[in-house]
Amino acid sequence: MKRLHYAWVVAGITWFTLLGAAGFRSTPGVLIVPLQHEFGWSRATISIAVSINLMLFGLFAPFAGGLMERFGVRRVVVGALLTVSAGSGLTIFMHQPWQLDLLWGVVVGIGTGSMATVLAAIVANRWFVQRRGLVLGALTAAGATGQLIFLPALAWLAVNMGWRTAALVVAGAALLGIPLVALFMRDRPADVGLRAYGATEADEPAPPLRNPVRAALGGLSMGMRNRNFWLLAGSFFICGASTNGLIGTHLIPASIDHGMPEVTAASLLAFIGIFDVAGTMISGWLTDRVDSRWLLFWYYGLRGLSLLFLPYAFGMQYFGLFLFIVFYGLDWVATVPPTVALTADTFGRRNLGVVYGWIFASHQLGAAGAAFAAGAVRTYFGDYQLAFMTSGLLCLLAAGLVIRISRARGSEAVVVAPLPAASY
Amino acid sequence: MAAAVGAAALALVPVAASAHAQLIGSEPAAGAVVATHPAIVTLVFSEAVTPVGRGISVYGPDGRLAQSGPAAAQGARLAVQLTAGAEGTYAVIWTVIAADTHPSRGEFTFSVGHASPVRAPGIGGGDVGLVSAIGLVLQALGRWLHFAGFALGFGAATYALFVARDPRPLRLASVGIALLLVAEPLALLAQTASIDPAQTFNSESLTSALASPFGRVLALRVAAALLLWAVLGALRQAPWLRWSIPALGLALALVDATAAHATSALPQPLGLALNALHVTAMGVWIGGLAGFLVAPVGGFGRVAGWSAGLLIASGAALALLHFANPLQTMTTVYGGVLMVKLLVVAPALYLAWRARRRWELAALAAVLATAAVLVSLPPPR
Repeated sequence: MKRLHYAWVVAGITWFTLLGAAGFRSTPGVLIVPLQHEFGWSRATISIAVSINLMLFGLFAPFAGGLMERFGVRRVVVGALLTVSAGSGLTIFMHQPWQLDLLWGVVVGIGTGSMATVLAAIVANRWFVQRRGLVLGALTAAGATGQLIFLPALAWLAVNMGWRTAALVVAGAALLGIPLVALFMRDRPADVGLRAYGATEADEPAPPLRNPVRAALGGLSMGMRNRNFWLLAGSFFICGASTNGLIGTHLIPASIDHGMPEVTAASLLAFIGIFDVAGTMISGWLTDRVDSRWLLFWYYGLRGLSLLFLPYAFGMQYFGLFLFIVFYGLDWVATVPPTVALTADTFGRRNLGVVYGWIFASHQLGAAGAAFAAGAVRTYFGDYQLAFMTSGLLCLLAAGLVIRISRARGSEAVVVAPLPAASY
Repeated sequence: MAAAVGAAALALVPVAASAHAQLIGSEPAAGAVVATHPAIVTLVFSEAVTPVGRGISVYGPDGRLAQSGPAAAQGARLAVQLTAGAEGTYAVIWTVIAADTHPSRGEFTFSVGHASPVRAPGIGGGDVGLVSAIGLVLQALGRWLHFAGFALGFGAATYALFVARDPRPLRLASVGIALLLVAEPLALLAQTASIDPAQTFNSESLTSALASPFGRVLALRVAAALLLWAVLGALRQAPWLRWSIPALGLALALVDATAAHATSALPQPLGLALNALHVTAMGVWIGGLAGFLVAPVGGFGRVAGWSAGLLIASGAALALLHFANPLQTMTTVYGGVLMVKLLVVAPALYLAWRARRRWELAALAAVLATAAVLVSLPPPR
């Protein structure tokens, strides 16, 4: 009798973890106004905590990859859930802005950063040979959806029961996840006496245990000597800038600028989230079948064209904007599965976690940079046209970058660029 | 992607009116002596305008600014509120970018009560075609690089992929992309320098130039160059994508047509098509010629012949449409430059006929330079 392969159990647990982590990360957005009311802190002051949170969410990724290699996925995720729970729970005692920066910025940023897209990449690559792209697509979509579906509930809690209740609910949810992960998560197929789903030969042996910081920095230096790394990191920087940074942060104010009510504008983003689930799943499915560079070429090319179209879409009322939402939503994080696949091809699966961690850090740097730059453009120019058009042009540049990635066999790349810390 | 780009370019291009905004009237009128101090100065232009910098600067008899805030545009009208002031002569300077992306500026005076000496920092003489001389030079240089980049980028690539079937001329396309990417920022500086050379790098002037229709045309031009670069990278994986290169070139020619001189003598789509045809034929001929010098094949003679024929026919039609009467070829700067262009075209055609390809290319580069000046000048009609 054919039993359910344990890989699917691990994928399911990971899916819920990513969904939760994304929800935890997005919580500060809901807290801005209540905190402003209670403590009288300015929006800029509170935004510093959000910025730290966003940056660490990305910058901690390569170190999370190193930690997962050293201590195992299960222990790292349990630790991350504890961290989030502590960071969120302790906020109810705070009364100074630096405490907010420390708790929501640093502690929750590191905690959620440890469960972000790197976790998805590692699980999909360790546990799946067949369907790897599809699983990665589903896991990535969970990360994107999680940032949207909890917001209405958290906002309702913050408004009706106070922001402390919302923070405690987040802390409690993170605690509830711990037994689930501890009981069912497994680091490698070999731990339960299996091969990866669809694998015909035995697993790559587990790499020697390495110091996580040295592993992360070793991954960076290994990447920096490879042309593909720069092409992937550069295009992913543009990806972050044109999604989370620009549209995620500024679509709502831009729509309000053009006379749209705030609730309608906010639901535009929700629609992007819905189309994004479909888009990312399809992208994962395609990654199993089509050359990843070719996919990314189209994703970035079409995204660039739709951004160039956006200033005109605002002039066309709802129809034009709806067209933009569908188009953009399908493409939101569709770039993740092919980018992970190309990273694995170039650097080998055993190095995927740390190297992809840095590429994802570049994504978040782009997001943070664009969020700030677009705001500055709006303040200075009184209009987003320049910001939208510039990022549209950047996406076209990214289309040209990704198509120039060279095809490499993972094993060769490892031989060419041995990890300095490998003998450690 | 080619079809999408073509459709998008068509949908996105701004609607051009005639060419270069000219002042056709004002309140108070130029040179008028009015009895009471006006609260507002209103200017009416030949087409819709975007103000650059202040848009209108009104200087009082004491030589100081006599207005509250910058001018506001409403279609072809531009208005500014005045502060209360003394009697005497007021100087008005206007600086705008037209719907067809051409910058222009001008000045006039009116008097309240009685005339007085003008102390305002005026534009002075030396303007050519409604812009500063240095601005005109920069505009022409930017357009020259742009046209050359268009020809090398799209023309040479099309020659390599469809006529020669030889990858060597594709190197020229990379040069063309580089030229395009240099030409566009230069075109932006040319806009601000045309309005006021002293304010070329002024962030407010650059901002208003980018916010005008010129900014969108600029973005679409850079987009075309980047897309060409992306497609060139993808050719190895998808040879069929080569079809998008002539399609992209055509889209860029259409974008260029909206920023060229539409003519009021023809319905607008027809004028656009004529302009785009002229630019496309230029690209096929010059780009193909450059490609031919790298990788010659016999089929080029026919391509060159056809594109030269189309180029001359569309050019002649455009020239005829831009003049109200033959005398204007002698009396206007535009007419003079056109005559020079024709003088350079003749040897180019002779060299083409004798198949002296290297010299033909040099002559065509010179023709391109005169064309770049011509597009920067306001046509008589």
